[in-house]
Amino acid sequence: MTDHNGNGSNLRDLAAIVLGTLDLLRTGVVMIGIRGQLLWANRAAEDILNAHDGLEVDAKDCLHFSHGSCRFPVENMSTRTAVASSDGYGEIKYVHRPSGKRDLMVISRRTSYVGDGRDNHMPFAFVFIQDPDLAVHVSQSEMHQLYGFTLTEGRMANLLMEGSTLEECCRRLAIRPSTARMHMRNLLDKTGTRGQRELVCLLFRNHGLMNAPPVPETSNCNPDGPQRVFNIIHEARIYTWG
Amino acid sequence: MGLTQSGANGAPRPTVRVSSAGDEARGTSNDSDDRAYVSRCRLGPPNQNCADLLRAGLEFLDLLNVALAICDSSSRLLYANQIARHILNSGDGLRIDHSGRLGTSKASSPVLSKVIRELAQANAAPSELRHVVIAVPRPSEKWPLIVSVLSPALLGDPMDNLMPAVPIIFWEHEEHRGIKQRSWCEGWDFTPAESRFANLLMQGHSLADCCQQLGICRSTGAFHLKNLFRKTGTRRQIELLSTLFRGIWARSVVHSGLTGAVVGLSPRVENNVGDLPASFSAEAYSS
Repeated sequence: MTDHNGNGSNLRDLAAIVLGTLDLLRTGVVMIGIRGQLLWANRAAEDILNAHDGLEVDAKDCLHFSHGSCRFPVENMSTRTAVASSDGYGEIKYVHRPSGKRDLMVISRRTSYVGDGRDNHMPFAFVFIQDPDLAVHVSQSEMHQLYGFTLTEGRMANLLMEGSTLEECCRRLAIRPSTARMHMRNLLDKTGTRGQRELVCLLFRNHGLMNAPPVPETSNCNPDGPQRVFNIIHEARIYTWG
Repeated sequence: MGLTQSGANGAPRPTVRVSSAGDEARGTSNDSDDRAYVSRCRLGPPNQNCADLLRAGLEFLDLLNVALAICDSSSRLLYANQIARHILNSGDGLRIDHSGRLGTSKASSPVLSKVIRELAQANAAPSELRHVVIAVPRPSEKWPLIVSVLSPALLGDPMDNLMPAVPIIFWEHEEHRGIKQRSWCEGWDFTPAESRFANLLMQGHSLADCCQQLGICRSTGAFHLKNLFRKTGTRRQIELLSTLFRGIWARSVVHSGLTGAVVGLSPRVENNVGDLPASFSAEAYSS
């Protein structure tokens, strides 16, 4: 497929949809080229990289460790395995964070196609970046749609997912223990679960992977919206679909 | 934040952000030409490497076991990735009817086709409706499918006509029920027994249930639990669950195999994705 006139626009639209879906993931996702240069990053990854805490991007667009200022090791990956085998291949690293927060979990995995490996702009590897300190926050509207949670119930559900106890929920929400117990009963009733443990598992299973797309009202901190910093390497080229 | 970069020639690069809801909501003009422009320019000038990114993006969804289906305003399926086809073919929760429309196997509330239509129309007439989540019951009595219907994007057909396309994402919970022991090992150094224990805990089982299922005595279970607390740096079961769940999606990728080779495609579904160029279909992708 070498078409940029007819199918090309369609391709671009579909790419926009697929990458838009990856933008919803709670895990940071980065696509890097063979030299370790950043080709694409989703929202969660941008937030992590913008924090300059553990992993960042250097002036040459390459993925870089904040600590010890060395590049993300891509070369190793190309020598170790030619192509991702069918039973999978990936590697977990823990990256120290100067701020003292828990280490970032960084998983790198080769893409299954790479051509001759000399193409700089071909996504060569995926890098997943998981911030263990990042709370999973489920949007109120999503919980309301699915389970009919009220606002306070939704807040409590989010606190429980952070690992809070009922006492902590009382303190953070400024409610009495009896009120908290009532909310807890409602949460269990509405989800059909039998205990705090099952409730947390259900919420994580249903909402742990994806964020709801941002709703304009909630983006309150910055009137101009988050700064979008990463761009696809911009270069005209003819592409041949293998 | 100081990360704003410019291209090698000094000119600012076009941004490629493909976020759907937020950006469009911020746009002031709702003129249709303007929207077409937004949709097309997100990926920059025509000759960029969007085909590479598309392929990588699709592979990525496969690795995560996330199903993506794209429908037009009348629920007609325009595109489905392999995970989606797998679930659609099984007819367990979501299915394709004889006219090529996406529907639910059992009645859902709200009705999927109605949601899709409303969202597609919301693109023409902006409203508050941006993203709808539906719990779709499954005939097999498995955990309901959580189906997210996202705000529509514009998709050009081969004749370059633009139409609203509604992306729909869902995933198979069972796939994430237990992740391979090797994946727990790395970094956390769980033993095989601890990994099994962790997987059971993540299904919502209590300590006693876990012990019973593994056929171990309670003190052994408590010992495993203590080790899990120590290795993850947590103190309570809920806290442990929270920590385990946050990492599971990323970890599941480490050893997940690509499903490309194993998913059989039914001709019925295959026929209904004919509107997109052949290069989007699974054969091209799995090669």
